[in-house]
Amino acid sequence: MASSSTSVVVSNKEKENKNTKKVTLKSSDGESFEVDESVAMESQTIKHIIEDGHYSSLALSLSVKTTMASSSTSVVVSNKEKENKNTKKVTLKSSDGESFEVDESVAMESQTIKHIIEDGCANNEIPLPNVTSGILSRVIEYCKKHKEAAGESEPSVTSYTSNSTTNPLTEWDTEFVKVDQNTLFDLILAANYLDIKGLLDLTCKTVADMMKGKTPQEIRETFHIKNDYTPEEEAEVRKENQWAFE
Amino acid sequence: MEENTLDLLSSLPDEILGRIISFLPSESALQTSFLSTRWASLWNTVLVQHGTTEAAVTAISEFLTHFDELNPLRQPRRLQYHFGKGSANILLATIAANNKLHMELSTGKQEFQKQFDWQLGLNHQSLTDQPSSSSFFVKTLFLKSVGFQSKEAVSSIVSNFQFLESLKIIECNGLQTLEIDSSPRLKSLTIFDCPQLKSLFIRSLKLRSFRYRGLLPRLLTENHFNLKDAMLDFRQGPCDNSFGSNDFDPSLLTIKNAEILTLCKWTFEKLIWPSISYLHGNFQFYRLKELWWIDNSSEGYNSDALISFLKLCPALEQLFVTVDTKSYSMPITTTYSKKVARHSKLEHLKVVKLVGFTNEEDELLLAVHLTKLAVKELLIIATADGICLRSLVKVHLYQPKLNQTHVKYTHNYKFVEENGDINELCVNHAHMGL
Repeated sequence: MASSSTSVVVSNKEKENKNTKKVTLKSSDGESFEVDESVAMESQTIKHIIEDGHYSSLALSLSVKTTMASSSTSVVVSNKEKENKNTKKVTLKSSDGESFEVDESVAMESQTIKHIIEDGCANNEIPLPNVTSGILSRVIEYCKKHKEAAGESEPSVTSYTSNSTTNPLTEWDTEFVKVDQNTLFDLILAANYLDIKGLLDLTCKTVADMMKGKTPQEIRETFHIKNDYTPEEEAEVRKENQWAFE
Repeated sequence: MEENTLDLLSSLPDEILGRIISFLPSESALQTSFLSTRWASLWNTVLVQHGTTEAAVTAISEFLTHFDELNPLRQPRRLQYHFGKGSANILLATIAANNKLHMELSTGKQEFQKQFDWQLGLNHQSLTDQPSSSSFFVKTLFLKSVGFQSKEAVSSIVSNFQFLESLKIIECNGLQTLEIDSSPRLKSLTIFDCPQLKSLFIRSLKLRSFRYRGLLPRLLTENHFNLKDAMLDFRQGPCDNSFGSNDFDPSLLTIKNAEILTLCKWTFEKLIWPSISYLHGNFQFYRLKELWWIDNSSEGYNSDALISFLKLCPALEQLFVTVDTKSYSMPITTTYSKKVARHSKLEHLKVVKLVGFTNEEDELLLAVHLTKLAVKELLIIATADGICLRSLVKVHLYQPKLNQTHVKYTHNYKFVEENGDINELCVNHAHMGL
């Protein structure tokens, strides 16, 4: 169990990793272990050493033998894992009174909710008067899926070579937006209100794809837009803009 | 799925519509302004600024730099810059996709437009201290209604556009002489409807397209260039009646290799034919594929000039003949040689469109003549009002001759109204509708 947890947590951190500090722990028999600073600081001893700045960037010599060190590492690691199980949750309340309990990290996909939480105003429930339960549940579904995908271990090799069209997340997104126009526009408004960039871009791009390649008349028919130009006005506008299309 | 007939899209807030539009390809994004007036208003925000004539260059530069091509609604695409005495001069600049810029000048009062001369330099390095850091490189520029009060400001602005490939100057009242000093990048020059223009001097190395509509001015070119596309719509006649074919020779050489040409009958008769008639058809427009011939018809239609010209165009594929009764005509008695030229058949001619003939008989005569000149089966379309299209069909007539034992079939032709798919037949010359 310990060894498998090690691999999970470590590769997660690897992803975020381009920015987290690492330290290298060197056991008494010369073997080096590179770990994230935050993981290493589970040890108060190491924590003090780091805080006091009494170390070179490369190594901390520990009077612990290799096998002991690696088992401490795994213990440390699985401790962190346990902590994750106690993640905070928040409750979101839709305009029609339904409550949804979600992980805080999932809810924070929404910048709006993130600011409410950070400002400390999220005591009981966060009311979302502009979002109905039907839409809110879909939005939560989106956020969960995208949060998971960000956290999932993917070997770095395939993540560089994966084509977005075969990326399973893109396929999921495509299915997600196969909804009627009413729902699509409600999702746009919700994504805008909740400030979820990924969802807003996805839904707006979907609408743009419905417009691409169509003549203005065809677009009007698709979206029931009323043409309120008089024939003279329309001719005038086309003439004025003719240069832009030449 | 419930039936939705409400227009939910248009009721989304402006920023969201802007975001949706940013996902559309830039050429078609502007088409959304045709959907309804609400959509048009998205595109019509105007940035209004006041300043000095000298500061106009900087104002335009900044305006161009801020424009975001990938998100065209984020910043206004229109700048209205007020400058000059009493801020009476207004420059309206509009940006469009593919590096296009349209600048229209106006003066508040309806003043008489003083005549002026204009020297436009396009190959100078940036004259201002500001480095040209504009991320929007203007490639196509439209200048409308430049007047004597605004020409200096416009000149300074334009001299910064080092990547200009195409310049179009329209409706400049008062413009008398125009001198254009261009860089080798400039490929296309268009001048339309400048009624007082008497003299045009082009210093250009690599012009490939030249389009002119208005009275024929004195044309001067410093270097020779080979035009691929030439529109010489001088249907109103020459500025100066003393122009002769000698004056036109340098221009003639520039259009000799054109593939697309618009030419007036009088220009051919007065300015081209006298120079080349002695060559007996050896001067050929070898590459000409698409021709728009602008004719006049005073008393009765005479196709001699047209036919003589066609004999010089062995590669012609499409012919458009417009009879414009208001166009300039000269009482010239030119005789055209009846000698058969080297290439008297039009081997590649496929389509002919006749526009504006007032006399049906003349129309038919010309059509039949053309079918005899062509080798391939011709599609001949005629229209007088631009709406009703008729096409030429053969009518086989059986005519028994009294004194002969064998019967003779005479092919007659007539024009039949087309009710079918008009779009297929609505071919137009590249220069029509500009």
